[in-house]
Amino acid sequence: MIGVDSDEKLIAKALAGSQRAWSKLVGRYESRVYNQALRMTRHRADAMDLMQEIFLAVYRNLPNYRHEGSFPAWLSRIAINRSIDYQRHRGRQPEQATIDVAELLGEDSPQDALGLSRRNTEISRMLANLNPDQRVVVELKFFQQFTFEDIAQQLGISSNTAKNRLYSAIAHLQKSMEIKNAL
Amino acid sequence: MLSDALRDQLLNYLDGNMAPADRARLEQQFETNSELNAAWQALREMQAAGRDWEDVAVPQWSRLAGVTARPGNTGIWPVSLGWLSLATSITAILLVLFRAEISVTEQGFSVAFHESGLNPTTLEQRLSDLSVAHESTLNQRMAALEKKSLEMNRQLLTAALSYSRDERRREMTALATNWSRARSSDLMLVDGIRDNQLDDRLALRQLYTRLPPIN
Repeated sequence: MIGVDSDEKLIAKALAGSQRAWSKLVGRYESRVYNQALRMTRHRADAMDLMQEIFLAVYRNLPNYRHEGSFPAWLSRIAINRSIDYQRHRGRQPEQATIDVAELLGEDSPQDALGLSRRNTEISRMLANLNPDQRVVVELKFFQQFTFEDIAQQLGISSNTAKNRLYSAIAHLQKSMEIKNAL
Repeated sequence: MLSDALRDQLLNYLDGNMAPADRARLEQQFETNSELNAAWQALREMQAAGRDWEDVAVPQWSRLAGVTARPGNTGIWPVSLGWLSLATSITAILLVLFRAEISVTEQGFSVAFHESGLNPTTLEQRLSDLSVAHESTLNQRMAALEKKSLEMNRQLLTAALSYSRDERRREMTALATNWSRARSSDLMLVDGIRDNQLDDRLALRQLYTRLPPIN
C-alpha cells in the first residue's frame, strides 16, 4: 500500500534508533496484544502490565529477528511465552495480589466494570474455567486462528499434546455447559 | 470417551479439512452419538467465542516506556534510571579510581589525575558533593515518576467513577421506563374494571325494571 511502511521497514528504522518507527510498529499491533493479554489475565491492569512486558521483550529482541517468518507470528510467539511466564508467576502469588479498581468500588464482577460487552464477559468467564495451558491453546486456536502445527511450534510441544490440551478444554466447557443447562 | 480418531475427525471437520463423503458420515454420527454431538457443540461454542470477541480499546500508555536509544541495548543497568544517572555514576567511579583533582583557577578549569598531594579530606568532600548531586538527580526522577503514577491513578479512578455514574443513570432510566409502562398497564386495567362495573349496574337496573311490583 502506498504511504504505509511495511513492518520490515519500521523494524529496520527502529533498529537504527528511530523511536518514531518503533512507536508506529507498536501502534499497529497494540490492540491485538492488549486484547490477548486481557483474555489471558482477565484484569485490565494486569493486561496493561503484560502488554508492556511483551513490547519491551520484543524491543530487546528486535536485533535477533531474522525475517524468517512473519513479524506478527514472531510477536505472537513472544507474547504467548510472556503470557505463560506471567501466569506461572501469578500462580505463585496470593489471589489478593491483584486488586482491581472495580473490586475496590464493590462491583460484582471485574469484567462488568471494565466496560466489556456482555458477550466478552461471557467469553472471559468461559476462559476462566480453563487452566493456563488449556487457555493458551484455545487462545492460539480460536482467537488467533493458528493450526495445530503452528501451535506446537510456538509452544515447543507436539501437535498431539496441543490437541490433547484442546480436548481437555472442551471437556471443561462441556461440564460447565451441562451445569448451565441443568440450571 | 471419544476415540483419538474421532477427535481428529472432529477437528478436521471444524477446520473444514474433510472430504464431502467423510463430512456426511460424521454428520450422521452427530445424530446417533450424543457424546460426539456434545463435544461438537462445545467446539462450536469456542469457535464462536473466537469470532465474537469484540476488541477492547487500548487505554492510553507510553509506547516508548522503557525504550533505550537502540533496541537490544539492555545491560545490567535498569533502563528506567536513564543515561544521565548512569553517566554520573560512571564519572564518579572513574574520578575516585584515577584520583582526579579538579581545580578552578583564574586561568580556567583543570583536571589532574594521580595527584600525589590529594588530601583525603578534599577527596571525601568531592565524593560527598558528587553523592549529593547524584542523589538530587535521583530524587528529581523519583518525584517525577511518583507524580506521573499519581496522575495515572487519578485518571483511572475518574474513569471508574464516571462509568459507575453512567451505570446508575442507565439503571434509573430503565426503572422510570418500567414504572411508566406498569402505570399505563394499571390504568388500562382500572378502565376495564370501571367499564365492567357500569355494565353490571345497567344490567341490574334492567332487571329491577322487569321485576313485578311488590305489594
